[in-house]
Amino acid sequence: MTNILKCNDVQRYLNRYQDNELEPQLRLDVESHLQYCQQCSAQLLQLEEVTASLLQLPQQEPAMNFTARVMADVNKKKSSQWFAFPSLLYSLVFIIFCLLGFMLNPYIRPQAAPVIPTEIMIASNNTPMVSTIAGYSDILTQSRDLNLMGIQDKTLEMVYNRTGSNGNNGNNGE
Amino acid sequence: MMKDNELVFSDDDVVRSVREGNTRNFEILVDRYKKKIVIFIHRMIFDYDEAQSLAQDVFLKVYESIKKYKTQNNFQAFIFTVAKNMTLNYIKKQKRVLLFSGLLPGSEEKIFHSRETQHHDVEKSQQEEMMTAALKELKENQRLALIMKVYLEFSYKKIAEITGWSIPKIETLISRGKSDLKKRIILRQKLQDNGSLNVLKVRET
Repeated sequence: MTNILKCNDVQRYLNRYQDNELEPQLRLDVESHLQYCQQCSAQLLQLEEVTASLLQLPQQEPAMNFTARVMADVNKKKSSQWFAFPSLLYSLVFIIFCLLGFMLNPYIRPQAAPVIPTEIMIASNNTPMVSTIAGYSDILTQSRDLNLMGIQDKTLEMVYNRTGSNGNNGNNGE
Repeated sequence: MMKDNELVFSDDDVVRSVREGNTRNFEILVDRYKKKIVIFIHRMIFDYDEAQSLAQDVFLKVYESIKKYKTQNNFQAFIFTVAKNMTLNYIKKQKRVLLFSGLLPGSEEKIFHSRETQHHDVEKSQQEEMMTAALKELKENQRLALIMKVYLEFSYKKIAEITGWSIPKIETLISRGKSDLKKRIILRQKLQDNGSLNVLKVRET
């Protein structure tokens, strides 16, 4: 059973009707209308003429060797991917070896300079003082030229004098 | 295990086989889709040689990104999405070239300069010329939707999958595309009858 449609409605549906995109019932309704409506039929004819003109344009086929050319490109791509992987691997191995060499080489590793993170107590009588730092007993020689007053965290020239005692004059520089 | 009759196998079967390392089977997909891909691109850019070249690039791109394809029986949408994107990028690039060259004195080259010199044997009737010219003047989206419907016979749903557009939008584009084509052809016919076909600029009413 079909529904009766008005021209306004049908003209809205004509494009979808021509493109076969209408639901079955609606398609029947439009067809029923077209059977007796010349105006809408003429409009449909115009749409069909445009489509027919488009389809009459000459169609260009792919070239004879199209597939062969594509597959040549594809195989080239595949080969380049295959070669890329080992070269990346080799680069990675090389970098790892360099890093290992750097870490294991004792000559490269810098010698940590002894640091004396302490305030230096300068004896007023200009006598050598002993500063105890983390278990070390050192005799620090004061020199006016060196101007050691207030020096912190600086590497000094040390003279180790093992006097058989801790050499601790009660001044603990910590 | 592949049989001799390749038609037994779906696109997804072939894709799986290619992913497993059987690159040679990609040829099956090329043979299946090359005609439609070339037709689509040629209708969009109006240059046969460039369309062939671009179509080859499409297949290469598809091969490179074949792992991204989810085997859900929509390989056609996948390949045409790639074709659509590459074609629209090509057109954008041509427009930039034209814009730049348009700054040079005496440059009047159009965007779609048809270089189909190898096909002089195909005699174009005046009707064909008018239709081709009218098609070139359509907006890209209208032309794209029309080509997919008329030449590739895709449903609105399939076109929506490829383009990401809604179905009402696709319907509107196709409807207006046909309407615009009709108007431009009528106008050209009138101009031809009056001997003034040099006027190429068509104003939309």
